[in-house]
Amino acid sequence: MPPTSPDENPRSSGSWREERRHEAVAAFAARIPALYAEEIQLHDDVVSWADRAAEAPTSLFVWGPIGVGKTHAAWQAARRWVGAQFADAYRGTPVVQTWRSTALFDALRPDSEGGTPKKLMRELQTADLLLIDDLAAARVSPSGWTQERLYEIFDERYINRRPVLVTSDVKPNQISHIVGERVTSRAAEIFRGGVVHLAGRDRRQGGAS
Amino acid sequence: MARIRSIKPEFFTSLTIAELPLSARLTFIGLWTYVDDNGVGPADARLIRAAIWPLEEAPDILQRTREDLQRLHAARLIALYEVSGRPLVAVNSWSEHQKVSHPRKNRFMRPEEAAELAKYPTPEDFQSPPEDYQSPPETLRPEQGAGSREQGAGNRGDAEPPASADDPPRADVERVCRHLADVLEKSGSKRPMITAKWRNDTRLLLDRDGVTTEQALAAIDWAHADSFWTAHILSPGKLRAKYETLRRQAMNGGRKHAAGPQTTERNLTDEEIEDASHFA
Repeated sequence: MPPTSPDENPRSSGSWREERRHEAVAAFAARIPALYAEEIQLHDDVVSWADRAAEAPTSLFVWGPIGVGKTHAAWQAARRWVGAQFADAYRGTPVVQTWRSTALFDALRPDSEGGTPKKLMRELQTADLLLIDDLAAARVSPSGWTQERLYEIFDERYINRRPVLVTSDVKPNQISHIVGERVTSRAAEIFRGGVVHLAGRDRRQGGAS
Repeated sequence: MARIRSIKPEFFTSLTIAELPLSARLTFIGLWTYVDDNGVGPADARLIRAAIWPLEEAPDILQRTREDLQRLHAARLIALYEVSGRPLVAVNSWSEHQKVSHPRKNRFMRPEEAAELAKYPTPEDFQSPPEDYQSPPETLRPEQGAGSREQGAGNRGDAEPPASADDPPRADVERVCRHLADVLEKSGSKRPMITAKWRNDTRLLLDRDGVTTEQALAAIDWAHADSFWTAHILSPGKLRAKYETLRRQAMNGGRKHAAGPQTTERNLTDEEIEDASHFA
């Protein structure tokens, strides 16, 4: 018999997937800002979320004081998460949206320069992973506009069980002042079992406290 | 939505299964992937046929699927029942046989829950007549009715038709439900469906908790004028659970808002972290 075609060889399909995984992780790593590029030791709960462990929650809310490495942890967790998407339930290279909350709301504004807020909203709702860094940094608009946009994103993702990764320097029990009651109520569901507190000294102060 | 399920080795040694024709056995396995993570799906033979026998070319496949369902029903492997006029099929003893990881949100009520709710009939229950599923299966072979079936998967509550209409819908219950639906719709939400659970929770609020209709209506209005509660009182069940809290806060002239958000302080104690980790 001549050698079987590559499709019928289970080993080659495995390595093909491995190659894809490599490419996807490298592509994501290239997006990580230089400051957060270094691989660091991650909190156990963050690791099990990123590796999609059986008991791990779908979404993660990382909170803690300023400068303890929440953003760094989030970028590295997202990189690890991308790698884990190529395990058993592989559904193609995942799409990851990463935003600082302030930039996110600027881009969503109807008058945003050269932007397409509607299209962006759709992308935020449907991306395989949405990372919102420093959620509490967004200004609360008196009209509740920010909160409505956030609700649109969170609600759509929540009902489709799409993961969200959030960092915040404001405690979960105070976040409703920023994101509003509706989002908070959703957040309680979305981040059930997925609230991680990071502690430590402020790394940006170079250890001087 | 189709999902991957597991087959236990006991399936092939079950006497109940062994009594069924091969096609019914395959339809049964196919049903597991057809139903939601609660083991329930719409009991429409056309949908089931389309999901389980999409490539079967036999012209009578729809009829055969119907017969398979009736056989499975007769063998008490599935329950055929209705919720709010919608025919549903449930795989009996679902949770014993399928361990679902990451279950999606349940969409349909299990027959046990439906039977519980059927004690409080809703007008919808009487609008659309059930499909022929409710009539006794004609293809039941006589010997299937008797005999030992200790391996049987289903001894749980079988299909129960909705309870008879001895309690007519109550005006006070309807009024409170409708008022809450109105308020929710006015606040920009999609108008919620007044379900049997809504009516039942409202009935309990009025009867068991001794809240008058006027008090219930006032509590709904008060809650939806409050910036916090308006996001939380979205069903009579919640209204009932929070009624006492609402009443107390209304008496004290409303909720006092906590101090604005601040960045997290360093050196929190474990208790403080635990406490702050809840969204409120």
